[in-house]
Amino acid sequence: MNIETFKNLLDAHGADIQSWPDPEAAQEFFEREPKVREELALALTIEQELATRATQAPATLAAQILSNLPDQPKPPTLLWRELLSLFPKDRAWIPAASALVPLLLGFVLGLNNASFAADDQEDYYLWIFADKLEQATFDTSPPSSVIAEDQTP
Amino acid sequence: MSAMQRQDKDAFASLMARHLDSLYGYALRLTQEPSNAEDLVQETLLRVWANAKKYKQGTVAFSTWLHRVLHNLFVDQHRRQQRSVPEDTEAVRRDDVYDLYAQRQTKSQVDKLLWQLPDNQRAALLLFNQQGFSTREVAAILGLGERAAESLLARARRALRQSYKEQIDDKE
Repeated sequence: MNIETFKNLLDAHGADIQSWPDPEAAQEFFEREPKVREELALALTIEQELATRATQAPATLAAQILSNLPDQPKPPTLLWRELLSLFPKDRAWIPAASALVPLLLGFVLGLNNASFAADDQEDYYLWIFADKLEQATFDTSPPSSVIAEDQTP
Repeated sequence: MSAMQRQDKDAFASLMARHLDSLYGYALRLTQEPSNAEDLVQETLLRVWANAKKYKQGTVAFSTWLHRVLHNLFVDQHRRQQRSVPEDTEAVRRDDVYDLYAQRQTKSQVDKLLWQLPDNQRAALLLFNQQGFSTREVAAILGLGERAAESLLARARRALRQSYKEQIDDKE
């Protein structure tokens, strides 16, 4: 080992010789070379100075950060979930709603049938009107005897 | 951590309490200006809150991720400052800041010399020696490969030792 190798190892691994690849050789060189002792002492001073400074954040900083936290936007939910959230949280309304469902279903079906019946009646009147219209059209055509006379030379 | 990812403010507050002093200490030495350090820490923690779901547990330690967010913000801020301030003005401003800081606190010689190092070397040294991260973690925080981080640390150690030595020689 020479001084430059020692310095390179000091740069690469820091001042703790025990963490170097060959600590025994480094230790031995350190003991017999006063120039590297100075380098190592300097490195130790710097490392200690870097490591020992404990800093406390200002007392208001944490509160300031917490007060500036934005509320996260809610993730999009399905429409039926939104609707469900409008109902009270206790489960007492569920049996009542279950009883109401067939009732509502029957009402809706009945309403639809009534409108079908009305549609049928409308069709019936349309047919009668069309028949009468057809008859009227035939009545306006000239009688067949007149056609026959026209065709005679 | 998972509670914080579910946007639980109490969980976030307790995580913050655990890391705040250390994060602030690092930011203060990195920026050398208390108000900048406060802004940086606040911005970091707000970003962590907003992106909590992006943190994957088990990949890197939370403190590593936290420091990486802070470092990226610091680099962004620094780039913006450099774009907006002409070079000579920037040098004057840095000296002013340093003088102000030196007056305000009994700063060690090492801190003064640390300020003269390039940003990435200063960051690497602080992360390794002050914050206690391993070389691999320093690499992850600075967005470097492990070899590059080792080399950066070595250059920083040598530069700091060299300037410290020169300072001592000048005094003698």
